[in-house]
Amino acid sequence: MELNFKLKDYEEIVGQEALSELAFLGEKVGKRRVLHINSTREGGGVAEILHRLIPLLNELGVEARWEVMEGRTEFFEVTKAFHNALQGQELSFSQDMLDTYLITNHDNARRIDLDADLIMVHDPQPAAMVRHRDKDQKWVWRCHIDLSHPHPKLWNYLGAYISKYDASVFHMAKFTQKLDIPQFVITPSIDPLTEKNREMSKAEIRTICDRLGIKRDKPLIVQISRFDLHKDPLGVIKAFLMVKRHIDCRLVLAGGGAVDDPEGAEVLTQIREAAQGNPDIYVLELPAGSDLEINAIQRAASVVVQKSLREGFGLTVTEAMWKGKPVIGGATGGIALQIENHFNGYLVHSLEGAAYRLRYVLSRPALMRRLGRNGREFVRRNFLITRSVRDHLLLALAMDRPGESTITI
Amino acid sequence: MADKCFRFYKCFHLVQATGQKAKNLKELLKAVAEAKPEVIFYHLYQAFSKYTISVPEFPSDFAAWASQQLQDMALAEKLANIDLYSFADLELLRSELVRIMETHLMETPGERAVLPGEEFYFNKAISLVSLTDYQVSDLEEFAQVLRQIDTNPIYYHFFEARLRLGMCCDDFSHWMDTSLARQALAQRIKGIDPYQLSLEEIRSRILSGVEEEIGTKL
Repeated sequence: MELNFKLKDYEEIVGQEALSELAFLGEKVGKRRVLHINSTREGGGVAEILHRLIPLLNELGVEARWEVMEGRTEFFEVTKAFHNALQGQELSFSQDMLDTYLITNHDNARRIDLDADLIMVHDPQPAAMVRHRDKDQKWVWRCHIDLSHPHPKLWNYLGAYISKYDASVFHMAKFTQKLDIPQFVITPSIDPLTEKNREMSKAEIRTICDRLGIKRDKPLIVQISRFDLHKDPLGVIKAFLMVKRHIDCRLVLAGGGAVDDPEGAEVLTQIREAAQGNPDIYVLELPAGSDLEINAIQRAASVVVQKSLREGFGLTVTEAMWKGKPVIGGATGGIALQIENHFNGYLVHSLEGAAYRLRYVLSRPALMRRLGRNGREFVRRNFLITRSVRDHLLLALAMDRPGESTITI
Repeated sequence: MADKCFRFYKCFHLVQATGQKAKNLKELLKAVAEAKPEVIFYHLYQAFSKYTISVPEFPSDFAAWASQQLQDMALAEKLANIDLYSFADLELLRSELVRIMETHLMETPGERAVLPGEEFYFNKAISLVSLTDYQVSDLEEFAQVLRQIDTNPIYYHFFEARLRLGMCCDDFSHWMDTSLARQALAQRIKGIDPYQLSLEEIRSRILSGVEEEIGTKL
């Protein structure tokens, strides 16, 4: 869905001061020509970010544009294999694969107008286009994947291209790799105006919950995630059953990923078996694009759980905090960067820990309100799209003064 | 600041990963001993710019990691309880961090290590600093501006100043002391505990001090 939010639409949420800061930084960046290159116009997190980022940067006076690389099916098969191997999977790659990769990058570098001051290349697919850089330009590689345990041989190959960039950007420090170029960290963000995060009236929440068959007569514990064992949905059910001995409550496990993923379908079967016969456990398989439903379920929650065993950044935690909910999360990945014990939720290391913290929080309504309030403010300050826009402006400015730790602007 | 005026600045941070990480206390100790000052500063102070209305249990990144990832509460408590005012500069503060970790290692044999992915990752921040439109020359004007500015300049002058002026001093108390000769007020502001208060609470404490000073001196 095309969204055309203007900066002023965010004023009520982030405040006039934050928008003034963006205007100030936009002015400092000036009419710099910034080109973003990725591999898809629709679908996936990167396209979603660029759809929002590019118009906002332009509104701030930056001449930002976005180009999408083209390639045949075999190219995208190669880069899909690269993508998995860079995140640790085994891969045996042939010279043919490397040739396909390089030729497609070369063709795109000739096709795309690379006349820009700052070029941001997203992910491995277009990474080798840097061979065509002009020495007066700044090139930044924006990596959206976890590069902490890459396939060594592939990384050896791709790393040679990455080192030709002026800098790189990662979601989290733990995703970085040993590189000779600066590695900046720009954490992901959520957009408070989208269907998944916009404010909702009580009536709207009630209507959606009714439609989904979620009763709200008892405290509601919610976990939103793909049906994936790394999200530990079975552990959440066990924790819920421990809580249920003391507090009468309900559990919602809602997510997707079971339709086109055989593993997801298997996990969903296991979850349904574990929940069978318990009327207080709702297992909801949501189709893609159920943003409004997710929003309503999160808002209906008393407490949100994200008991992952492995996690990327964990934007569902961010989303829940934005809705003013205390969050109990597995102490892993980006969840540990977002949750602070007693401040906005609790980090847990076991299903017993999850059960205990759920009991602890659900028994203390005043604490729940305080954790929720802190979480929302924490997100407002650190994880909204306006901060992402700001970081991109700061990056553009920092690229002018490489190696300096204090820059007067 | 040579003249009597106080100019309010604001700063923005771009976080940069150093590529260094630690999976246990020994590695943390070694990295802290060798890290550049801006890395130590980032993990002890720059976390504060994330919090406006209240602060978490352990705002020092080292203490938070010891508590949440390493699950060594005694170490977390020792690291959190460092009195930042006792150290004139970052090198002395670094020495204290090293001393605490070394002592803890000796007192608690048996190595704890975190799981892969839960290591301590060392960062630093690039500060992009700019002058705001606010400039004041006395305490009345100062209080007026302090009431209305965003928390960003408060962070910059209260925390980031310590990189320039030494750990014991912030820009506000430095100005009150050197330009306005208000030593008692400066001492009071220096005494505000940065580890226990949010930026909004720090604003409120400074304002109380200034308002009392205006009331008693004028």
